[in-house]
Amino acid sequence: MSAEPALAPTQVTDDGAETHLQHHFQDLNVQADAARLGMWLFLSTEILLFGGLFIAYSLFRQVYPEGFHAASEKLSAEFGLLDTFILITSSMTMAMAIFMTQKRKKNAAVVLLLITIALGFSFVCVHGYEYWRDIQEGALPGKFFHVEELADKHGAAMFFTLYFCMTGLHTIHVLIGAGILSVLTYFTWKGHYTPRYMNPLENGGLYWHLIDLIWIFLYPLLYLIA
Amino acid sequence: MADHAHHAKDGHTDHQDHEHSSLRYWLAFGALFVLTCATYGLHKVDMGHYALSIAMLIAFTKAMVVVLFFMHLWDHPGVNRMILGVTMLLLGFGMIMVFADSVTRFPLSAPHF
Repeated sequence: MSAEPALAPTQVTDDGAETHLQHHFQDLNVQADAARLGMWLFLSTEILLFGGLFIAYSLFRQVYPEGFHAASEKLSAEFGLLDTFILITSSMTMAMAIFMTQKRKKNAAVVLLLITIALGFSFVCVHGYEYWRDIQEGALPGKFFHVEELADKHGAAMFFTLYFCMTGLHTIHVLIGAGILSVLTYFTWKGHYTPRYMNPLENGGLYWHLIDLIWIFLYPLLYLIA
Repeated sequence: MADHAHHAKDGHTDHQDHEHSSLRYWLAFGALFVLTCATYGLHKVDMGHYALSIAMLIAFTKAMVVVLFFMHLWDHPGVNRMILGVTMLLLGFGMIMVFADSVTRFPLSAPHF
């Protein structure tokens, strides 16, 4: 629990939080709730966006179980494991960055945000290397697919089409998330966020956790079905 | 609004109410780490048709940890939880309808993709 003195929502303090209060909100609490609600609605559309791909995956996996199993063997479960560890660690550092902002430890929050961004780019690098390996082996989407050992496996090309669509869309989200966190890191460093006003940081964190959330399902479905 | 009246009465802000020890984050991180290792370890074991179900059960557990603790749905108002619940309901409905269509077609109308 907080050891800091309690503040009434409308009490003006020297942290500058009131300067962020928009005129159409009663107080900072109402504004924070509205910001979170809006962010969850946006995350809902993101989940449904990926959901369409998950449904397509499930349908084609039902049609081509052998092809999907054989194609999945071409992916490295160890690289997928590394990707997973990177993302759950970045989720932890993101959550701790918000925690440190609540504790008014600005420098610690900035360092944690920088680590989160670095982990995001590490994920992109590892995944880029995986893509490079896939391309070398001819495991490309659609009509570009030409892996000889999988030539007689119906559905293997479809697996890689879905693999590139799902992981590609996810990687784009990681890059967008890293960009958003870069801006948030700058404003955190400038001292814009305080325990009473940190809506952008909180919402940026929610977006980053969603990226982790999507990967939690992508990993077993793509890498571990062999 | 009643919640906010309550906050104002008590003299607390939302962010302060949600302040807590970092222990819950470390526990959540530990749980995610262990469950990830379990997912990887179990895929080495031949569990036949149950393999995917178990992997998805672990994935759902990990997702709940992220949503409840890292994304703070444990603390936040019910309306945010409702949004996630309705989203999952729509996703489930979409899945059921697509599969219902797929499995109930008579052979000649079923595409071979």
